[in-house]
Amino acid sequence: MPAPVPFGQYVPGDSPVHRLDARVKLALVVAYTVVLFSSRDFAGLCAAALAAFAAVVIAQVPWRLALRGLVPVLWLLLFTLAANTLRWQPVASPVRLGPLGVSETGLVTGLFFAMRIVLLVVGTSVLTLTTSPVALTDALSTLMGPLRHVGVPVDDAAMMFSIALRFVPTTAEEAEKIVVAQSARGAVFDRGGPVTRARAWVPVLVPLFVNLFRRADELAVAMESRCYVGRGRTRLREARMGVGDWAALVVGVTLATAATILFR
Amino acid sequence: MGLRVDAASFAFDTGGPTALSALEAVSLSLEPGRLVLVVGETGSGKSTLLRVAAGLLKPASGTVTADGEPLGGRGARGAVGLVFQDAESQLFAETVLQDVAFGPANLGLSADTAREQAGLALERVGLDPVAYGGRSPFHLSGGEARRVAIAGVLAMRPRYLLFDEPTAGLDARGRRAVREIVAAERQRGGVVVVSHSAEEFFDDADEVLMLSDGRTVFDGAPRELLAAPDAFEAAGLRAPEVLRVIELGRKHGLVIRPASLGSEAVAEAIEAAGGRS
Repeated sequence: MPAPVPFGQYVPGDSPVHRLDARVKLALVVAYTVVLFSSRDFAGLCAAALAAFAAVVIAQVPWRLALRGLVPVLWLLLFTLAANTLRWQPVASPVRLGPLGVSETGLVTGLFFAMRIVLLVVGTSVLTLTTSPVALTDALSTLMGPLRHVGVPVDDAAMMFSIALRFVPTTAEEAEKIVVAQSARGAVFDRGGPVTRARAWVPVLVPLFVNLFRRADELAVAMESRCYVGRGRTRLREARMGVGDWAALVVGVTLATAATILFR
Repeated sequence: MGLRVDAASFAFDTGGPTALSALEAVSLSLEPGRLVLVVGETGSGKSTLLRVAAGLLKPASGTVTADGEPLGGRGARGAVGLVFQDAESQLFAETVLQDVAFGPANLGLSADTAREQAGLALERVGLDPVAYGGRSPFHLSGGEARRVAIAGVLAMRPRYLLFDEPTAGLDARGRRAVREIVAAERQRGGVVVVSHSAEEFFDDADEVLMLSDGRTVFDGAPRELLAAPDAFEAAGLRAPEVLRVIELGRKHGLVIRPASLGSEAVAEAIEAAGGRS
């Protein structure tokens, strides 16, 4: 049985999105984010949704993977909706929940913000699902290159980002092992109130974090022993922008600029 | 010439409430073509000694040099390669080839040279670079992953190789493969192997360094241990089988004088001593 793909893990493929230069993909995600946050109404978000839909279809990424990133932010979505929708004793509200009333304007605002979060997650998921961590690191390192001149440790930051992504599945696997081990010792995770459930996770989180810190320490020393100092590294793959990359960049940024101007 | 650790001392958390002396004036000398076996029980300072010898820990006193160059200097960069215990858990790149080429890339070698050195290193550990280069290091067997981790160090072409418990956790086939790699690398440069068990590399060792509580309790040729039968027990270790057989023979009035400490040589010596019924 294939291992489940956690949020953010790269899924190898040969779609046009997979083949696109990682720097272009990063730039397009930034442009897409600008459109999302500059849009003041649903028209702008719908345009962004269209772009996200097209990206998922062209990337041939299964929808369940593209949407899996929403699971961790589900509470944030519900909170956004509730915080905007529910009002304390509103003057005129057709629907009431005890002392709380539902504001129609608030509901629309809540839906707007929730939709913005959903689109942001889907857009960034397409990036991480179609771009290998190494390509992403290289792209970040190149795009942030000028910051080296003002003392920003660009290479170290890019390497940290890459390793963090790479170890997501390993950490998930380790957490699963600890859950099974603690269950075998009688731990119960799905009974009781929120506090009891939160407490039940302590025997999982403590060894998980201890292992993570130990692993991080060992990896750092092992990398140092292989002469890693952050600077002066060469790359196995020198990325070169092709005609398709330039075309995607120009079209994508032009559309994003137009959308930003049109829907702000 | 050679890799030299002279009277190195090291303590963790110096001056703090949990200060712990890990090494006290320990010396190690490694010449090209030789294999030094470092043994000792858990916490005896073996791994710390390797990290000091690799230049990863700076000794509080004493010196570490590789071919006369102090470690940490430009000339000695990459001169000493260290294969960590549980090395496969430190693989992190997307493909086997990228992981093995990590070291050469850090040394500033061109992409082509780094790729070439990585491919050759994979061949040296018995893995086909074409078949394995593009695979994920996370989808290998334990023995394969260990060999990839060793290749990652070999790719940097170090003159001296240090192995920390290289066979720990491997099955018989994996252990045999690692032993073969160690034997082959010894022909290219000096090798230090750290083990909590003296059994695995005892036959191959030119020198045995025994540590206990961060101090050297024995340093000499394996044959010299014949005259110090209690040394292993004093260091909290089980003596290798060949030494135990020789010692048992001596207790029963059988003087066994093997030409070497290999099991065949010992069997011949037992026969020569009249142990054949």
